[in-house]
Amino acid sequence: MPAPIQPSDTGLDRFTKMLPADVTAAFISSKAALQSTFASEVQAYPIVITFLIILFLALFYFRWVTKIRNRWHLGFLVATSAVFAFSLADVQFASFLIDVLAKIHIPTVWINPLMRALSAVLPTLWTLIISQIALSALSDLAIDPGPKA
Amino acid sequence: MKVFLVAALLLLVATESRAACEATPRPIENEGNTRAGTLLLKADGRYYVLDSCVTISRWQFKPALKLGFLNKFGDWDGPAFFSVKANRTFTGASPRQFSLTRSPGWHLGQPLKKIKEVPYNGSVADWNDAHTRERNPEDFGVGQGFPVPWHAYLDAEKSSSSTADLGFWKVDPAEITSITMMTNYLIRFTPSDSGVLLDFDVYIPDEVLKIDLTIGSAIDPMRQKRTFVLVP
Repeated sequence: MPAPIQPSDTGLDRFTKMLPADVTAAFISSKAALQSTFASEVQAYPIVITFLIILFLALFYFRWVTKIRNRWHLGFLVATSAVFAFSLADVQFASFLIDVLAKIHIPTVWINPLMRALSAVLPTLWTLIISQIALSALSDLAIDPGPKA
Repeated sequence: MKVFLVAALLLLVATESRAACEATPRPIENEGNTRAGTLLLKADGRYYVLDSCVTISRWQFKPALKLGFLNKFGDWDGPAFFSVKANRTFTGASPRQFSLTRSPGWHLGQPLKKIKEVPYNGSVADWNDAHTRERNPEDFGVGQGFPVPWHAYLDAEKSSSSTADLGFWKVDPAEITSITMMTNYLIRFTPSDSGVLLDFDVYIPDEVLKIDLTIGSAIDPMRQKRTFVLVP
């Protein structure tokens, strides 16, 4: 659960606070609802647009609900939300990209293999390596500055 | 300024000239949730939906495009079928002009076995002539260029046959050249809501540049046309 990082937090506490479980849960619920509403052929747009809306709202959620003021922490949470959402909806993201890029005449042959490889590798890399690097490199930078005087 | 305008014009022309087939097959997560009559492509355990014209990466989908419809036709009574004309354009001379494929389950006095890519021995004129004059599956024989019985009845009761819509089988002679090969498919199935894929394979060896697919059926949503442009 995201929350401001305190100097007294252990490594595990800090790691937990850098994972956006609530925003990811919101995306999973929205995606399930959209999948039951739309046929598979037309799910991509609603799901990707919902993802973008959730990502936008997440900034305000992290800032005002979870009271995170540190920009490093905010940025990492938003990036992690995007990676988790991508891994949960890689098929819809691929379909959306193919449709959009084809409309502006950009070849799309590379999208399917790239997205498939990314969806397989990126969540693992992000959770096991990039998060750990960020935790080590940024966790002191991400310590909550405390309320403004 | 002039150079800029010319460059913009050339870019516009280039963009428009290759605008038609930029899309590739779009993956879907749950094939069971597709509409009846959606043509699907299956590869590596994943299903894809297809725009009317798509670019296909050969290395991604070789050796064959496994295309088909999910059986969601439970409202349809009795056995049914769909017919496919897949006209492949090759880089050089094609092995033959027509070939014949048929799923199992068809009847012609007796149950017929499936056949796959059997060469048709006649010319384009013979093909069109046969599909203008003849009316019943029994009439399409060796004299019309068919090396084996191909047209057939859906069941022993002869409730319907692959010759019910002869107009579907006639081809435009301009479309059949020395570098094309049209494979003709007869796919019989029992309508149900099982969701089983009613599939057929279109082979895409390295020499194939383009496939024009025409699907006909008495079931309206199955009727459609597609163009596939093959790239390495």
